[in-house]
Amino acid sequence: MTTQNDYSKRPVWLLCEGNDCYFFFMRVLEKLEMLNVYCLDVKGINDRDLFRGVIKKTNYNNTKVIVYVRDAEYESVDGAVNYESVIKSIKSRFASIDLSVGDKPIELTYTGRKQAGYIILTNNDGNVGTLEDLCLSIAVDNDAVDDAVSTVDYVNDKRNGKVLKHAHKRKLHIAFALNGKEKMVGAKTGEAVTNGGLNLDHDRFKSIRKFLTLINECP
Amino acid sequence: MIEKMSVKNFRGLANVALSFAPFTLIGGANNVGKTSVLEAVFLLYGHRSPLVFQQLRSFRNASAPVAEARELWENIFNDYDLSKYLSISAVRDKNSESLEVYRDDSYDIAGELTQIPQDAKLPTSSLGLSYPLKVLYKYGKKETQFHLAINTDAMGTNIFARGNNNSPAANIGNIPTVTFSSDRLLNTPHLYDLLGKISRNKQKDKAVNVLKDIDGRINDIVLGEKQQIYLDVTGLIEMIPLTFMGTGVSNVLYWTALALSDSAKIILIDEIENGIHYSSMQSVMEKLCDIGERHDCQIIATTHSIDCVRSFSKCSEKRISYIRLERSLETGEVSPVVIDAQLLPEMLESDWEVR
Repeated sequence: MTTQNDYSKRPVWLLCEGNDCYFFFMRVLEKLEMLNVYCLDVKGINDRDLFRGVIKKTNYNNTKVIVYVRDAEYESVDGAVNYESVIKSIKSRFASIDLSVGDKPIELTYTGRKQAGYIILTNNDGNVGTLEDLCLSIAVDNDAVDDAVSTVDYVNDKRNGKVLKHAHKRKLHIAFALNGKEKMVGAKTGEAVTNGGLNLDHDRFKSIRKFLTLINECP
Repeated sequence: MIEKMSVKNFRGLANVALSFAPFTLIGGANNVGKTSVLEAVFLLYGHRSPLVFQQLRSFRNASAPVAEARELWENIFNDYDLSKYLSISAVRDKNSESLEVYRDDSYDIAGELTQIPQDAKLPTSSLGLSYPLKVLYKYGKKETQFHLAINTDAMGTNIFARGNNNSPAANIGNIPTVTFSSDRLLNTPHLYDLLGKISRNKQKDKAVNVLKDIDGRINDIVLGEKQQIYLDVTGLIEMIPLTFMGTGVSNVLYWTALALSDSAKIILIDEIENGIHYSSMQSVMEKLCDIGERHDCQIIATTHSIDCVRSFSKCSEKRISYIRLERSLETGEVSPVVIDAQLLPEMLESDWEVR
């Protein structure tokens, strides 16, 4: 039986911000058979922050590549994301574990014996966004996505200005529910990957997939 | 309390520095040096006794006679290399101390032995295998030193100490009493004495309370004839000898009695989880932590058990520290990873491996 300790012996660690992100990338890596990458959840910025604990984790000293993946939701003000503040926050987190990263995502920087980098999730326009934005843009069933977007917009119109929070999450899960496959009803993003509800060959996923391939082949 | 310790060339530890809390738990893979850390503490405070090397061997279950005299202490040197310079330095109660042990062939063991009284009956013909060691202990600006040598004759292999190790002057630094405990080494007569002491001090109820966490049917501890220890267990007509109650009960009673009787200032426990069911672990840990605090007794323990680490993480965070020893795949060197008491529960809650 493969234990968590065995997985953590992998030379590349992908630190995911939050549970959904963790399960999404874990399933993506499984699907793409990237066996050098170990995925772990470092929790969201507003939760108990486990990022600093990464260097204390068993087998950290034997890693070669550390990559952090997160969205940009926390740095948004009135819906507009401050990109510089996202990068600053990421750099500071890496500095807390004595690693440095560059100014751009999806590239690796050397610090001593390790390489480090980060992924910022993007929305359908290619701008920084959330995991749900990304999943909406790569969902297999485009009609279901269109219907989900229309549904949320319709509900918003009916609520006399009381706009639904986390619209991206509502749209995504309605889109999954409207997908023809039964297994997609109530699916989480990771399950959607496993059940074939998301297209990992999609143009919008290309740069992330290319980067995952790079880090998997790095060691 | 020992706060920091640096160990060089002792057993598998080439060079490692550690910090200790009042209650420290040490994890790590097999053969990484967890037990060696405990033994280093034991050697540091037990060095005045020539028997310390035999005791160190017994901790490893090496009770068989050595085939060659040098085996008696070459195993304490890193890489079994007697030419290495073994040192253990520490900060205890804010004072620095160190123990240095090294082979000293310049020492004239034969010259010393000629002064030994006749009743020692030492055949000088066997002195070729003496392997003299110099032992130097420093506490602040004071120091004491002596030599140890091995003598092999028809009666077997013996260690002889020459110097002031047993003189009152050698007891500089008020060396703390230290006890090494593992489930292979329960010393029943010693436990009997400890229980006698805590009975006199009216502390026995506390020990019974700790045992109740393991088995709620235990009502009392009774000292019987011929140094037999019995337990009064609900539902049984006769008292049960402690030895019939399992390893966990005996071990926990021993540690508790050591602390309650103020008989050990430092308790070293190898594989603390042995014999203790996971459901009892937390209360045992918490009570040990509490008793240690009340009796100014430091506990340093090793473990492989995640249940043990989880239980430990729930003890008072001001008093605990978890250390994992890791061996580098590249250099082979062992280094400690200290996980602070705030981070440890968070890592465990996320099912992160910390052992």
